[in-house]
Amino acid sequence: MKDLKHLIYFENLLQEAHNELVTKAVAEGKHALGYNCYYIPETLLNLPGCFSSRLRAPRCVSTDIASYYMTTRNCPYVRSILERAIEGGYNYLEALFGAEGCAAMERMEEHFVLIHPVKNEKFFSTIIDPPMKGDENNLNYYKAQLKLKVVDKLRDELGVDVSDEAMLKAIEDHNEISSLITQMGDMRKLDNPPITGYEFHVIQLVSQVCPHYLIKPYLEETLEELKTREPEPKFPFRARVALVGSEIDDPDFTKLIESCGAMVVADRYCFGSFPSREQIEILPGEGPFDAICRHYLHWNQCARFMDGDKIDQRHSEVLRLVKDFKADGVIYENMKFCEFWSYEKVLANHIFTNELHIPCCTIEKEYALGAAGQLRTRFQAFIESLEIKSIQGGK
Amino acid sequence: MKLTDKLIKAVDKKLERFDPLWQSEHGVGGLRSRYYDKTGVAKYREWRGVKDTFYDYSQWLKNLMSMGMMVGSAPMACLKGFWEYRWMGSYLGTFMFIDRLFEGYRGYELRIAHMNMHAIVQSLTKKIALVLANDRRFGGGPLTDRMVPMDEVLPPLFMAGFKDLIPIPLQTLPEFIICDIDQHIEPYYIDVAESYGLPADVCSRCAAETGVTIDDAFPIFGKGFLSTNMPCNASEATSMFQRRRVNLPYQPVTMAMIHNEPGAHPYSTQELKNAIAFIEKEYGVKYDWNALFERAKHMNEQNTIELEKWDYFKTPYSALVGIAETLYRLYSWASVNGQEDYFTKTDRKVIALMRKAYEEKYRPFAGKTRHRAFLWGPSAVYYTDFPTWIQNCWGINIVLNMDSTMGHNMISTTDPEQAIKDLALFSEKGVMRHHAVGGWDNVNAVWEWAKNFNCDMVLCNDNVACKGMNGVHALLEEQARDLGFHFIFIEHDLEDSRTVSRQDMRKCVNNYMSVVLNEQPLDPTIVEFDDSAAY
Repeated sequence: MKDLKHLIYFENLLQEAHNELVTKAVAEGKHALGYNCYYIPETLLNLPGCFSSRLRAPRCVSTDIASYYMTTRNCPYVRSILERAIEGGYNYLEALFGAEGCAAMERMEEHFVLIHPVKNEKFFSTIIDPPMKGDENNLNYYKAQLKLKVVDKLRDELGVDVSDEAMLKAIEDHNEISSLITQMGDMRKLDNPPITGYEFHVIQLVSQVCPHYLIKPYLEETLEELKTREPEPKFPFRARVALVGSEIDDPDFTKLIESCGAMVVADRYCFGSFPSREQIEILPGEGPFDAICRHYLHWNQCARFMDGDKIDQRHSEVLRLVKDFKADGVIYENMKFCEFWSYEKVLANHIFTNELHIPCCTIEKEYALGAAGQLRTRFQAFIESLEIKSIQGGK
Repeated sequence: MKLTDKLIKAVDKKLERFDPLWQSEHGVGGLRSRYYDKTGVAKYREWRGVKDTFYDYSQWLKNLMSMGMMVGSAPMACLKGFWEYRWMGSYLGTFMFIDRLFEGYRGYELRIAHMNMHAIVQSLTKKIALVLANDRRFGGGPLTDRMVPMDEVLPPLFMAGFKDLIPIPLQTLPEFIICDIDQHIEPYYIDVAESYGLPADVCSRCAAETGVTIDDAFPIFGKGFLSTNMPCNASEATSMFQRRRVNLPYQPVTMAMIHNEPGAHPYSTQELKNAIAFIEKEYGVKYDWNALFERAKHMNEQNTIELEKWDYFKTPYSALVGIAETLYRLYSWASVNGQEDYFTKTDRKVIALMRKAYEEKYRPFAGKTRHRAFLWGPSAVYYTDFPTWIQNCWGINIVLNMDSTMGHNMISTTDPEQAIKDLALFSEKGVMRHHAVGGWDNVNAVWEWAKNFNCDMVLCNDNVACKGMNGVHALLEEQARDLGFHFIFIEHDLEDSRTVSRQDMRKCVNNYMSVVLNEQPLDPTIVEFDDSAAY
């Protein structure tokens, strides 16, 4: 396929958190608001005058100082983020909105207050206690936490307009960018898609780490380009897989899988488009803030949810993606030392392999792409098994 | 002095060479001398002088009687239990376990320790018999449908409002307390979970729970299952396995994680209300507030006594010490939670003895304590007698531990709405939760506790797989340095004695005491020894 016009530009934007679009937005007086987790609605951080910045630590090669604070026995994603903060990589931030999504994440976010790594005099941070069930009591708690620790803070600390009109504007922005990403992502449903999993991963990531109003024109242009892009004459991969897991913000990981012969057709992980790019609908009688909270609680697929409905939703959503995107199998990933995804991966592997009879491969990885040789071997073996299954007519 | 006392004194003098404390003082042996190498098997019982040896042995017989009563009350069920469940066999190690816990104990501390321990033994044996006699695997029993399986870290006091139901902490018998007794049992279940694909870096306690689940080693009873998000991430994650295996209507009771903020309590209160509604629906029973109030009175009395105990802990004259305090508080709070009269009675007896000892200015361990330590962080379950060892070896008296600070607010005994609010606050501050989760301030409270209890030392349990506590490693060390406390991280792997052995744990202390503080051990026979084959 012909190279996408902006792909290299997008790749460059992913080389550091404080990229050129972030710099531009800050220079224009926009409030840069960091977050780490889907529990913090991106939409609320894109209220007029603000922009969201989902924290990554690209090219992080050492976490020595963060490991001093959090030991080497902790999640490499959170250590990398803390390391990057200590290095000064997030000095553009005016706030970090954290979520006690897991113990490691919460401890890392606490360090943003306790050791003051962000050298920005306006900087402040809060941590919400996110819900663990999808019922009414948990929705109410979620709303109360977001109001107290995000919305009120934005209003009181930064003077952000948090009126219903402003929220509606943020929802509009969310829906616009989500529509662009979804249209591109849906192309992966085609038998011979004009976009690779790697390219989509890059595009989805830039939509999360760049100010929306600055990245949107590039995304619109890319969508138009994709609509007329000629795919390869023949589907160039040997299999199609859904990638499921936690904080995968390294497109090279997707590239690794694709280099082994399987196209990543669905991205159900923390930085992926499932969930994150669904349309926010406002139900009759519902205010915009309530709609945002309901939306994010409903679509959240975090492995920390404990109620039966949400546990089952996690698996039914992956099943839906497998069917809609015609995946031959599922790759479950967990970040090393991640308690939640370690367990989810084991259970899901059992459910998909033994109950749903969908081939499943589980792997564990570091944050920075290491041990690529071992992973490559695992992926090659899995893809080969999918291929053999396909040759044998699914038996 | 009475004649008998004179006689006893003479015998004690004559036989003092058999007393391991005398032996260590005189360089001719010590507490480890009576053991076969590598094992927990002693060649003979510890000689503590006539009175204490006789008392200790009488308590041994008393515990034996409780175990006999357990088997006698449900002989077939117990027999089937031994046949069906691997973990049942480990309960045979109970006697060695108790002997190990109270090595070096004499006088008041020995008496109080046995009072507390027998309370646990009599409760636990009844619970084992009850569970096995009503286990559906063995055909069930008359109480099968009246029993409620609950996650063991969900404080069961609120269930007292269901006066005809019996809450049973599901994991306690096959996973938790049995690991206290036998260091070798949980590695089997951990291996089961890991052979299923679970990574080895998750919390071993939760891995063990998962292994018990996959191995189908939970007794089966009840009509609805209450799980919980307490205390932490891995524990939450294990629930999804238990939900599938227990296969009963399921309600997770998710208490607020960041629980030191006012907004948390209304949420947690509603969670308890929802749990009550769930039980009412599944069991077809009505909640009785008066029944709750009756048991809450017991819990309040126990907590009132507990607070008085704390006053004694602050002095050198507390006769309740070390593991006798730690284990009792853990079991009586987390597992019994005001529901058994025996514990209120025990508390009354213990506090009376503590008052007497204080008036007499009695110093436990013959006044050999050199340091007063606050124990922080979740303790290694496979090394329950660690507090005993550290006192006997280095003279470090653990005056209180983190989990003993669990919910000690009073529960209203007149107003249902206030009672449920009180219970929410009480439950939020449960096992491994009051200080280990919910934010840095909760962890950082250790220095205030240590200062209030006149400690010069903080021992911090360093569960190698605990992501939350690992996340504050350096901050704790920096605080200790700034505030001038002796501070030791004691690495362990909670329920997997293979990763960090008991000796490895001892080594953390030995190194600090000998290298940093340059002190000599009280008993050289227990500085380094191999007990890898012991229960």
